[in-house]
Amino acid sequence: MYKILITDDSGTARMVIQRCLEMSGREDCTYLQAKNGQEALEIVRTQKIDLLITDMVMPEMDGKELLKAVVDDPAISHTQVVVITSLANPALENDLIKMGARMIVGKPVSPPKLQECIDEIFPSEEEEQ
Amino acid sequence: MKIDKSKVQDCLVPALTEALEGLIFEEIILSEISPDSPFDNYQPAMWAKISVKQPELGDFYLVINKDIMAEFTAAALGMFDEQPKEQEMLDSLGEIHNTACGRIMALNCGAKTIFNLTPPVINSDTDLLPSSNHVTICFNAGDNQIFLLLPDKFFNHINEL
Repeated sequence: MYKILITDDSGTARMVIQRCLEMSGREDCTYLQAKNGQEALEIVRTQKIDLLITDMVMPEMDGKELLKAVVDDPAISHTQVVVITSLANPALENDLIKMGARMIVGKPVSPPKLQECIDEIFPSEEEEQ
Repeated sequence: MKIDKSKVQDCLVPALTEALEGLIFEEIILSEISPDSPFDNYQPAMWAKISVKQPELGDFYLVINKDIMAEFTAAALGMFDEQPKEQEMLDSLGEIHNTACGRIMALNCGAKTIFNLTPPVINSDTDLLPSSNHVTICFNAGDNQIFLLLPDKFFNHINEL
């Protein structure tokens, strides 16, 4: 099972993202949620998270700071990071990919957008054949 | 300040449409642009404010009637049999506004600019809404009206594009 952590200060956004992921039909994923970067970092450090999905604008620790903290820590730097943001444009995407993000997804999210993302990061057995 | 309606149509409607259709499956249509804030007859309402810090454009507001927001929240959260709680409505309003502001800036700032927004501030008191230096734009979302209050600076910015 792949463990996916969804980080967003909005409960609505977390629920919409998780629902879109669940609608992708992948049964090999379980989901956890965090309200900000600090909370997410603690979970990534204490549990084996395969994919961290994070918003950009959050109180306490924002998405960029969270990405940097994950990439700079050798113990967790293997964690894949996808940034979901309403601020998505090519300049920001370049910046975040250079920092170590695997993918940037623009808000609003949709099931096809997130399915494409998950399938690229964790190819299903069907796709691998 | 003179506002070109076709510019508003081009710059704002696609952004707001993306945000609302993506989250609550509601199409929007530009209704009218006004220097006034016609919220006395639009109660009870709630609003969200997001400040655009980079470039420095000021405060963007989204004002929605509470009953309409209850419908929007239920749609966003997939709640078909229960009424959303006040906190869920406030949170959904913030998320809708965050998505709308991000799309407005992404569509109007060019591909090479990294822009910066603050987290949303939510309130129910329409007396606290700005009475000057902002333009009120009314949209129809289905049978309902929603309002964006945008700073004059934003229109100066898009007029230069």
